[in-house]
Amino acid sequence: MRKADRERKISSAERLFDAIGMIDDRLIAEAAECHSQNLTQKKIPFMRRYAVSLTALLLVFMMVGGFAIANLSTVLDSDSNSLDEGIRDDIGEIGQNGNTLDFVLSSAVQKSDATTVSLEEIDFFDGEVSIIWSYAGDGENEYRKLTFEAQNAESKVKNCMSKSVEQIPAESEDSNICRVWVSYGNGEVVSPYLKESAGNIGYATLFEYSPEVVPSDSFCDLVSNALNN
Amino acid sequence: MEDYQIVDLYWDRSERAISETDTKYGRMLTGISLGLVKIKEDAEECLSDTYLAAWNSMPDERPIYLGAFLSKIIRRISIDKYRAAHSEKRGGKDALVAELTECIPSATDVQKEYDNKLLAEALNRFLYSLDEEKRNIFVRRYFYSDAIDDIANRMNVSVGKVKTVLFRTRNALREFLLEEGVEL
Repeated sequence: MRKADRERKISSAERLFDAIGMIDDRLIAEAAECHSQNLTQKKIPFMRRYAVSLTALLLVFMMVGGFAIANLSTVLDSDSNSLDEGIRDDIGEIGQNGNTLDFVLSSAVQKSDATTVSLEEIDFFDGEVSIIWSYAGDGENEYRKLTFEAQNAESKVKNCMSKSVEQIPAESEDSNICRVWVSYGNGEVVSPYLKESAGNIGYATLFEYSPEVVPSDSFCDLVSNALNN
Repeated sequence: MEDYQIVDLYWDRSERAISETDTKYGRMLTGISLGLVKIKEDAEECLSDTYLAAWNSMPDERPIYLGAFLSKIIRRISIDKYRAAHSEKRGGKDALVAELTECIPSATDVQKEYDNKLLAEALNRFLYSLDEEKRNIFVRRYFYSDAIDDIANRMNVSVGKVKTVLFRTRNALREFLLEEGVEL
């Protein structure tokens, strides 16, 4: 009797599930729309974006300034090692105390082979492992995409990302210059700023997130190599 | 491209209709199918069948919400595919019952379709009575087959809240169907 009752319930639930497939088109469209609306709403607020852009600009200036002074010191062959080291210390300090992945990606604004694409242009099923990111000052639908060319890229990336265990300090949450995702080419999308869990895997789209971890140094090196090759 | 322009392409019998549909809705439709069939190759097959069904249904139909129209098609195709695959896998009684469904007169399908339409109308009334957030959570879960975590991310709310909303909405739906005298 219990079994019969259970089968009847399952059969009724299946009927209900089928009927849900026939609900009003407006309800379906509304639920689809709420997805994109919320994504837009969750974009970084204007003032925060402005502050983050300034930080990015400052980083670039410091790098350019650092390289210029380093070159000048070489040309003049003067005894300016202390100054040069001071600048290197500054950059090093950013690398240690700031977000290193931000640093790597910020320094690649001009020189990387990354292609600029819109969300619609990204093929999440291209079978390739890619890093996708957007700078805080980028347009709403502007992303950079770079494919990891290394052999066994997926296992390398996953291995590096599994080392991202450090918790993000509360005060630095959402202060990242870049929003970063990794596409595995099979529809799966993750972010190096999120812990590894089933709930943190997106499907064939880029999603907004609040950072949970700091990407590991090995992941930053992997990205740096991909940008420089 | 706007929905009405894509629909025009279908009505003009232009093959570009399919590529434009794929560009705009391909990923979303694959996501719906994959949520049901769980196998990428099957989802791709369902996507192709959906485009064919859309091609065959226009002209005649002129959907206002093309995304919703296509979502309904791929959902139905994916559910059928899932049931067929699982019925084959289970074998025994289920496989035999599946074979025997071919003997059931089509009038039963018509009756079933009619009953489902009445049920869908009741669901519409129920869903429109909910506030927008609850309604969207319910539709994302049971129409789009979204995971609870994904809904929480999408709606910018906690997983616990999504679970609570779904639990209460299911209970409210049960009461509503009882009040409406809907038999399942």
